Amino acid sequence: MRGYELCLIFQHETTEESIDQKVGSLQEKAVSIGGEIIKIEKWGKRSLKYAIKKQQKGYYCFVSLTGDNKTLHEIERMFKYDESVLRYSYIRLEESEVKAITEIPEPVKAAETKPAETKAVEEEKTTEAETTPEKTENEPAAKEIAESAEASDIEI
Amino acid sequence: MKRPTRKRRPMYQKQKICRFCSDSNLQIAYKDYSTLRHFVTERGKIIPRRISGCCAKHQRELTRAIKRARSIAIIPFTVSAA
Repeated sequence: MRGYELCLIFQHETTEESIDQKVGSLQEKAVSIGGEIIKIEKWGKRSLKYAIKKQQKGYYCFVSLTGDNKTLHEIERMFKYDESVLRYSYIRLEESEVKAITEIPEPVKAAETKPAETKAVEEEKTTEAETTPEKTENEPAAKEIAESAEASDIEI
Repeated sequence: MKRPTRKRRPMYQKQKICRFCSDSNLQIAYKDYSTLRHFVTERGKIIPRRISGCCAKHQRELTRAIKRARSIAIIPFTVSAA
């Protein structure tokens, strides 16, 4: 089993619920094939650095999972023709990276046997994700302004 | 005929140190815009090793990270002049 990190960029109009649903169905499929989802990381809405399918904004979601080529085929089938997904890409993780992800959240792993608790953990994650994007959106914007100011100075 | 010998101007240059070698806390990750942006020009080009001072190993990792970040629109491919 290899570790992969999947990056999904949804249209910014898609609701959290539908995203959760899609990630959930991905999880089901991955588990049915024999893989496992290690980590879900939601960045929330961010501005894209260039337009994808004429969209300037997107909802970033990173999913770390273990699996094999079947899992990747399944991912491709799920997201290739899904219009709400602007872009998907997966990257192979090194074994050390997989270990780093799986070993730190020990309590989460222990809770996996009890599905009710994992849901609670996921909910916590989503609430975190809801609060963080505001910060992450503002920060780069401020930096961009600073950069553009620098750029204009140079041009003068 | 002998080619006129030109005096070479002595080059004084500070020794550049790889940032990632000197600071082990700095990690290269394709998702990390705040570190990657220092290694990209305003136009979105990757800054060469000769200028950034990175060691070969880390420059390789950097380029890979930057290219991955470009593919998921974290870093632009190009920035057109305003």
